[in-house]
Amino acid sequence: MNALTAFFAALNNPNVPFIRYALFAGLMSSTAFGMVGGIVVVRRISYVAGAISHAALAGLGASLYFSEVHAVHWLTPMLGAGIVAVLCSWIIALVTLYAAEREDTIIGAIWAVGMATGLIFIAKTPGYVDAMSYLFGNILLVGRTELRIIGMASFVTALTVILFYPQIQSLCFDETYAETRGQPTAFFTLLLYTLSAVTVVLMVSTVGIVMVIAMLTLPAATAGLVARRLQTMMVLAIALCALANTAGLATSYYLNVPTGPTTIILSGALYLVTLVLRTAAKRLRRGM
Amino acid sequence: MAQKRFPVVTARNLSFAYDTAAVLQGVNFTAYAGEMIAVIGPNGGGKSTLIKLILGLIEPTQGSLHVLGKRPSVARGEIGYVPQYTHFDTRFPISVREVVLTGCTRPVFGRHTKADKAAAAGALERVGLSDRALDSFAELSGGQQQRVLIARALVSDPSILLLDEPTANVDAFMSDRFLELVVNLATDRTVFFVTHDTGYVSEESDRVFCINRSLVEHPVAALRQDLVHATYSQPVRKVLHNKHIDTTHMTL
Repeated sequence: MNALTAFFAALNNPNVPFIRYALFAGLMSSTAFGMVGGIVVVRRISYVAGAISHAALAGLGASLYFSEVHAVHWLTPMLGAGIVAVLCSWIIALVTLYAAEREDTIIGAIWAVGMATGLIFIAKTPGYVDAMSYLFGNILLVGRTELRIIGMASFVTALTVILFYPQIQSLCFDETYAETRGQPTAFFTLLLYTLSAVTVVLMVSTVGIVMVIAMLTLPAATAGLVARRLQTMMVLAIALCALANTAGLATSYYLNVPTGPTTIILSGALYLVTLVLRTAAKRLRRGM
Repeated sequence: MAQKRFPVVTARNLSFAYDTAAVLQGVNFTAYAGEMIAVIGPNGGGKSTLIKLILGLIEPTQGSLHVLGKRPSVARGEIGYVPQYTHFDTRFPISVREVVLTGCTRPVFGRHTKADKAAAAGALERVGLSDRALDSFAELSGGQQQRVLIARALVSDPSILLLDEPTANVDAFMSDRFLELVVNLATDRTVFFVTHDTGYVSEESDRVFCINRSLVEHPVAALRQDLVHATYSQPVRKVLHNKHIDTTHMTL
């Protein structure tokens, strides 16, 4: 039985639903990843996304702790991560917009303090907590509830980008000019950072906190190498993200290795190959 | 000409400071409809600050500034702005037409209408780039990109055009063609042209505003051709500010 047949057989196997869930999660979230990834890349805020994703560990840890110690069961890890991620994105955006503080300083602070807080909460949570599954992703984390949340959040994110596309494009291309046209740039900056936070949390369950930044930027950066318009870049990034998620899942199943890292390596390889091909094509054109 | 005497921008005792560092002090001027005003001065002298004040991006710390009789932030819709070339990512994935359309993007919500697209086509025609509308902005030369940015500023048909060092990234030939375009635009609107190139100041402008913390105004006739040419072999600001401008206002 070759690799693909084995993978499809596993997808149809009622005893291993988590593979189906992981596939659906990857495909559904690709829309948000591609759209927001495109924005993150052209606006050059990938390190903001990195800080948000690492700070999300504070929310994950807190939700585990309060759920175990104080029986706050409604506070799921994904919800906790989402709340903290959005709050952190607002802090970074507001400091960048209104305080005379360097953006890299606040990014570093949020990044480190968020992780530290999360690790302390996890340490104080009774019983065994597999922190590695949150740091590096684990497809077993995706259940029906997570799928519903991923589907809804991805839909809302995509809808927001579509509705405000002209304003977002204008802001990303030339923020000062957008301001001179009366655009509320602070509001849209907050909106973009919020969308980044929501997208980052969607990814945590599949690729983990540490590798979110790569998955958010690599498909979009690959698309950016060939696309000449932002909307084309977004559509291509969605397709590449879906491809990387599916191929990553299939490859990891076949090789019996973790899915998150496999997906990232495939995305990185795709980016490198595209970069080399594009550079070669440019040199050939110049030589002609 | 009566049309030229309609005041469009009026500054009275205008001052601006970042914290305690004064950037502009006691600036007074009136710009009239249809004028082309060159704004020159050394780096850090306050040229860009004046542009930001006219755009309403910053508020004066003292004095008043009115654009078409209104506060600048209220009159933004009447101002077309062409930023410095280094102001944004020139490799951004966007088409020429999309760049122009950002000049008439709804502030909060709404997509571009057919009228917007027609206005964008008209603006591109005016700058001679109709045939490049669907091309990628990143593929254009520096001079063409500047013309696209002019089209973006024109698409909302503004009464005032602010050009912040628009010829900084283009060669001499393109710079001349670019200036021809700007002069044509100045026939039906007021143009502020921030530049370091005094050749354009002498030949094409109605007046010259020399800015170095304060503002000294000169009619173009006062900038004699021989002296302007002499500036090309010397640092521009030195010649201008030592010979043409009341040096008591200048701190070089």
